[in-house]
Amino acid sequence: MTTVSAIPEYLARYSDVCTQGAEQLQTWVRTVLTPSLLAYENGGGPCVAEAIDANVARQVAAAYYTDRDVRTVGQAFLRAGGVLVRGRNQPIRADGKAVETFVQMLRKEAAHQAQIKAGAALAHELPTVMNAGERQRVERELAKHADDPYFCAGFFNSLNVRQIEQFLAQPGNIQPLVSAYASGVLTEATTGHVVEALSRLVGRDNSVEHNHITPEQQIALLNALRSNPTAALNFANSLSAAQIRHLFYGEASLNPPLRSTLLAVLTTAMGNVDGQPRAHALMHKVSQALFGEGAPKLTHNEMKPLIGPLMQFYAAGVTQSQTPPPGADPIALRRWAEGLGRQTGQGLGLFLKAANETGDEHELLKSMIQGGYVNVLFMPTAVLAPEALIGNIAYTAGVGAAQSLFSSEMDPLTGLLDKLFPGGSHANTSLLNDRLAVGGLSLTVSSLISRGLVHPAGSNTPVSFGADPVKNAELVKKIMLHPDEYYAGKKDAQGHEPPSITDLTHAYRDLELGEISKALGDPDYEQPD
Amino acid sequence: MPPKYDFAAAARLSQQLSQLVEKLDWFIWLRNGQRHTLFGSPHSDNWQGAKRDRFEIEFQRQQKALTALKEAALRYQSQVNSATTAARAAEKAEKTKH
Repeated sequence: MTTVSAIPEYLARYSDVCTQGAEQLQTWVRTVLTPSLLAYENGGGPCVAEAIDANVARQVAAAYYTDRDVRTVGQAFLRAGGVLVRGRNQPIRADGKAVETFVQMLRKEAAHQAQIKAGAALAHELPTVMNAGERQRVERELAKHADDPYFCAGFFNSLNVRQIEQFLAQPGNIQPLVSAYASGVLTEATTGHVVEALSRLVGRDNSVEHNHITPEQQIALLNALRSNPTAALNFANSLSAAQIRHLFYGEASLNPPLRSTLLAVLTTAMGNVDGQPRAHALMHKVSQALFGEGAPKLTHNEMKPLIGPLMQFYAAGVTQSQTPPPGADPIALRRWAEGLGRQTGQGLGLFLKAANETGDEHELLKSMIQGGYVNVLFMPTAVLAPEALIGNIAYTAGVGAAQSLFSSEMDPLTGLLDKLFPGGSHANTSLLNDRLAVGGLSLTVSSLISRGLVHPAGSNTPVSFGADPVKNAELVKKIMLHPDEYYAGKKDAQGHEPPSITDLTHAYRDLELGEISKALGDPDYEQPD
Repeated sequence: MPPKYDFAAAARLSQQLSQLVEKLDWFIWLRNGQRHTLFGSPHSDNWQGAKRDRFEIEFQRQQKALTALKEAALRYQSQVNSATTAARAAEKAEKTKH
């Protein structure tokens, strides 16, 4: 996490003073300078190729937009800083990524002000506690704008928690909420209200001041979010680890399908995450929420139905982290493999630790592993259009090779696993990870091939995929079975030799399993930031 | 036939190009001063991080471009003044001929 700081009031003052200055200058150029230039040229003065007034207007406009944006950054700091008490003009410290997210949100809000205001105006027609007639009238109006994400966002952002509970208890209002999430401008407060609404199940408490959601409506809402990848991603990003934990272990989870459905929404979100750092951040947040310090322990029976959905989530996260660095620099490729291994290990560590702690003799995991779970691993990523990441051909080849390797009983990690987990005390969890690691590696090798980076020893001609998926899978398998005979990248100007696939595999798995062994071996393990 | 050289328009434009230089000077000063007073150095807690770094790059580029515009305005003013001098000489020569 990169911490950044700012005094929002100072940013606002700079922005206001400088944009006013720019406006004054622009007005003078438009009303005084340009007419004088025209009068001069019309009065026999020579024309100049570069119109000075247009050049001034362009540069002042550039300064204006930069300076206007400074105010937006200040507002983003206010949002990222959350509710905090600070002295007048004291700096706010916040996570750089959070500030960036809020800057994007504020820009979208600025671009769609009219729709957002119209949605807010509809919400403001509502009294704090609605009667059925008022609610239905507003619902009919809202339904007309269900395809306008910004109108819907303006509407839901203006509702209080009671009103959101009341709205979300009605089946017709799911789509406008999904649409609102797709806008990317729903506030954290609104997400907080949605989490509360999802948690108030019918029949669980008798409080008359709240509206209660039926179990069916709760699941329908999550499934609707899942069906819209953009909405699912924005929902996942807006949830804090505490809110995910609240949904997963709190009253909402008294509805049995809640946990797996929520994980399905998070998996859809993961499949649409933009880039490795964000994938890692989402894995980190979910791991912390579900298995981090203070999280309730799941029993054997509770964990059993969740292993599949959890594997789908983590598999999507691992897949999102595959993209190699640009170029063929041997050092960059080694560092990439190390970073990928470390991050994957950190992402999976808490989950594997929790899985390891359920059941007395790991029967659950044993049955999962024996149950052909390569399919469990790859099924979700097949749904999530992996060609966007590494190309369809490379993906198919990677999956084919991994499946073939498992069926041939080959276990490339046994030696290292024995070293890291002596006495087999974590054998089952290690096998679990084995599948993930080999799956990850096969995809990694495939992505390197598809980028033309892999060549056999003694040759500079890269291997490549063809039209036959079986042959492609065989090529990946051959490379994984003979990793010393293939190299990735090119020798650089300083004479660094390209790493072999073995080198990359070691770099990846040493760090990945190192992180996991820390998680399994240390009862107080905490996920690094 | 080209229009008759408008000496009043030329004088007005020349004066306004001087004003443009002053206004650009003022705008550059305003931005520099506000930035220095309110934000401090790029590592000040008043504002630091990736957004500040990006702002600094854009800010410096824009200030340089604004300074270049001042120079362009002065060059253009010099051309206007030269054209005016030439037109006066031509007018005088024309009068002498008649």
